[in-house]
Amino acid sequence: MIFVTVGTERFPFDRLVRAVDALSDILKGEPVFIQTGTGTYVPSFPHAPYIPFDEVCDKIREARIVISHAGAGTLLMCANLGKVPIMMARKHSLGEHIDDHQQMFANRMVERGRILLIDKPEDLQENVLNYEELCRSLPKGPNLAEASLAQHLKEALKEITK
Amino acid sequence: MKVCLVASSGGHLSQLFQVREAFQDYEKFWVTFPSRDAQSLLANEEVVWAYYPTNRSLLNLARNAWLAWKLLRREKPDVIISTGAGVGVPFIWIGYLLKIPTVFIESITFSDKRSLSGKLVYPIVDHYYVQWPDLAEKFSKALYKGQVL
Repeated sequence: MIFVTVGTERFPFDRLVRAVDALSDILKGEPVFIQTGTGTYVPSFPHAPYIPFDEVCDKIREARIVISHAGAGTLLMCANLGKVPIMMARKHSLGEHIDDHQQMFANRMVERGRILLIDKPEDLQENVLNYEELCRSLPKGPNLAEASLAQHLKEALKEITK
Repeated sequence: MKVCLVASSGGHLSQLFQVREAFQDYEKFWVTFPSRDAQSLLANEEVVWAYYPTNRSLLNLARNAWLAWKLLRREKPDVIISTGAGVGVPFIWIGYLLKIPTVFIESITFSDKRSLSGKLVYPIVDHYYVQWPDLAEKFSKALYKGQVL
C-alpha cells in the first residue's frame, strides 16, 4: 500500500498530489490512499482531505511506501514507526507554506539518511520504482545528532523548579 | 510542580509530545489548537484550546496574549515550555512578565536559522534550545542538547 499525506498545514500542496496521480499507470495493482488536505486537485486514487489521526498512524504502519510533504510531524510519525518516507518540500514561492523551512529540514534529514528527497514532481517515479534499493543505500548520517533532548530536559526541569 | 506546555498543532505539537518523558510525572496542562492530531494525542490530557491560525495574525496574537494573561495568572505554573510556533510567543512573553521560568525549543526543522517565533522570544526567554549544533554556535544564548528524535 502506498500512503500519501500532505499533513495538517492549511496551505494546499496539490503539486505532490498531482505528482502521485501522474504515476497511476505504474501503481496499478497496489492500493494507494492520498490525504489531500486543503488542496483542490481531485486525484484518481481513493482520497480524503483529512482522516482521523489514529488512522494516519495505521496507514503509515501498513504502508510499503509513505510519500509526503517535508513536515516534522509526519517525519516523527514515520521515524517512530520505522518508515523512510519519500518527501517533497513545500515551497513558499508557490503558496505552499509560510516560508521555506521544509526545504532546510529536508536537506538535513537526507544527510542523516532519514528520508528520500525529491526536488521536483518528475523525480517521484524513479524513487517509487527503486524504493527498496534506494533505502538500502541511504547514507548513515554523521552521529552529531542524538535523541537526547528529552533526557536533558528532564534533568533541567528539576533544576529550574528547585 | 505544574508545567504549562504550549505548541501549535502539527509538527510543533508532535515534537513537544515526543519529549514528554521530561515532564510526564508532573501536573501539567497543554495549550494548542483543536486539530485532529491534538485531539488524538492529548485525549487523556488537560488541554486549553488557543486561537488560530497564528501565522502572521496580529488579531490572534492579541487574543492569545489575553488567553495567556488569564490562564497563567489562574494556573500559576512553575515553568512554561514551548516548541513554538506563533502561539508560544505571547505565552513566553507573559510568562516573563509574571516571572515564570520559560523554555523555548526551536523546531528540528530550523537548522540554519531561527524561526520567527524563536527570534521574538529570544531576548527574554530563560532557556533557548536549538536542535542543531551549528545553529547553537551562531547565537550565544542557544543551547544544543540533542534532538527530539
